[in-house]
Amino acid sequence: MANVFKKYKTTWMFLAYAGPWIVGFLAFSAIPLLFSIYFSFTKYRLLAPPEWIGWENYRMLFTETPEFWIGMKNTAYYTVMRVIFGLGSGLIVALLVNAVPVCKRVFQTMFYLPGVLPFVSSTLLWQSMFATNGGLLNNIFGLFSLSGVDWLSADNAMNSILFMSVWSGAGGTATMFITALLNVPQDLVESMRLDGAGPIRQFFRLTLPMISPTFFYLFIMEIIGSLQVFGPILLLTNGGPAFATTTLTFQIYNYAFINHNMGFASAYAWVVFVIVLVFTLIFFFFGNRAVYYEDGGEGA
Amino acid sequence: MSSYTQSKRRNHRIKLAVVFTLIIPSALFAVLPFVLLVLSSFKTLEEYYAIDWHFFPHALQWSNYGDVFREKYIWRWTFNTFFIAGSVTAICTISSVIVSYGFAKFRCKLNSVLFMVLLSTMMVPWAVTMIPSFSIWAKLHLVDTYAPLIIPNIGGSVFYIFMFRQFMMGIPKELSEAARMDGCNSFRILWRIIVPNMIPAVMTMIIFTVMGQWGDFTGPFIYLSDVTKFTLSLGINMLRPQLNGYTPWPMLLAASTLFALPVLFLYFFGTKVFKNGFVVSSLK
Repeated sequence: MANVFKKYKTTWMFLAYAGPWIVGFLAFSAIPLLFSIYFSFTKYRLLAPPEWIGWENYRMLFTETPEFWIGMKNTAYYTVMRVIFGLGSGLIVALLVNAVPVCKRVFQTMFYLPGVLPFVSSTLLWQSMFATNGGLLNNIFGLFSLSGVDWLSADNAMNSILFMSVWSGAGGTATMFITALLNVPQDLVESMRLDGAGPIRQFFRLTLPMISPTFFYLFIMEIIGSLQVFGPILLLTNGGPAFATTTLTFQIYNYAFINHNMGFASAYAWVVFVIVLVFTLIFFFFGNRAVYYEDGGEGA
Repeated sequence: MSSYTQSKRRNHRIKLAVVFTLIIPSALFAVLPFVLLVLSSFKTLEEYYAIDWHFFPHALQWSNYGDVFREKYIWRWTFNTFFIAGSVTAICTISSVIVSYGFAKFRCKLNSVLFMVLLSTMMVPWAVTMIPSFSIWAKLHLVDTYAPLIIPNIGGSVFYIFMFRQFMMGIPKELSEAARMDGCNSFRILWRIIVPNMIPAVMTMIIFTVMGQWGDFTGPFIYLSDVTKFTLSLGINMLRPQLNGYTPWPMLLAASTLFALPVLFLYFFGTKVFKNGFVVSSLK
């Protein structure tokens, strides 16, 4: 017995230290995941025990739930726009902060401020901004004698939510980019400049490859996060008007906690999981080749 | 030669002009909504809804702030929020330190396998585990208590476990070897040698976890239903209902401002800590 312990001492020690995570992983990820697969094949309304119905939930979802396809369309739109504008504005802000010679920290703090606000504070703030009656945005428009806009109408609501989320996310993304930019070797920048490379060439030939690991990480995280957008939808529009902002996770929440249709919601959640998985893996395998790792990709 | 330096200097000046004309408006744009939030929280309801609208309030209406404190459960919610944020942060941070040490120090096959599992859990959408977790907590009759909000944090945070592991692998081996020679076991080495060498990293986690928990909405929203158990997020969100057709925006915005103050304070205090290189050295 003592021998077994000695032989595998490293493994035992590893298990002892990683123990809390392993317990947490089993109890709050692995076991719920298994339950979730099972629930997705059942009719389950929380009060009565689950009742096996095979693929019925999945069939219902794909063929008899038009909201699902609306949710897919809205979520796809949100994700694409969020990735483009979220990463784009974050990168631009980072390049600006990096280039500004004075007050770097002041600017960085200003840009990060929106991201620090608690979620409910910033949603209430934007709700007051978007309101048509006494809304702050329309009041500001009024100062320049522009006519007001119905920010949360069916046509505008999704873009308004996108605007709000890019506003609050850009500072955090920028902070990650700024950190990456600090690691771009200055001697390489200098030698490129001496070779007569302009700033645009410098950016695409040197800066972008050097920050590509951060770019790639943020890209994946933005996709995973955007595919699950929920909070702003719930508080700002509640999926409306007329399904204009209903998203996948918002519908899962509705089916599970408003309709108490846990089985159907689980099937729905698994479909979203598979979508997230497929996208992440595709981008991981193709993106990883486009990323430049200084240590040759050996690091974790 | 002199013309070369001159053109270089001119280029530099043009570059600075471009940078400043872009950065100043965009930075102002980033803080403008927050400025509006604070200014509007000092207006009267009439001023807020006035057709003849002004950017600045006529006089500072501190009564909006007074109204927030007259909310029946405001202190209760504040206490609840402190309690949840405090316990989650303590549990999550201690756990992340211990677990990351296991991943950093004891290399074995199981370690590399579980490390991949750890990273891949970041991909699992919360909606997938939320439903079974909720039904398990419901079976245990623990819905509408703080258990579902606090206990799942015993595993630590994946993101910070990853960060701490990277950080620990960068701490010179000689330090822990010397301590081992003096007869320290690994647990003592962790708390006496490793942790003191990564205080900025740990502080960063503490600050961001407190900030995240302070503002957390989804978790409390799903699990809590008793008004006296609410956190500030839920409570302030609940104050929204209208009074005679008018949303009491100035009061709501005052509440939002107050709610944001501790986080802002933490952030400004925290930037001193972040500067000490945690993010810089571990995100490479």
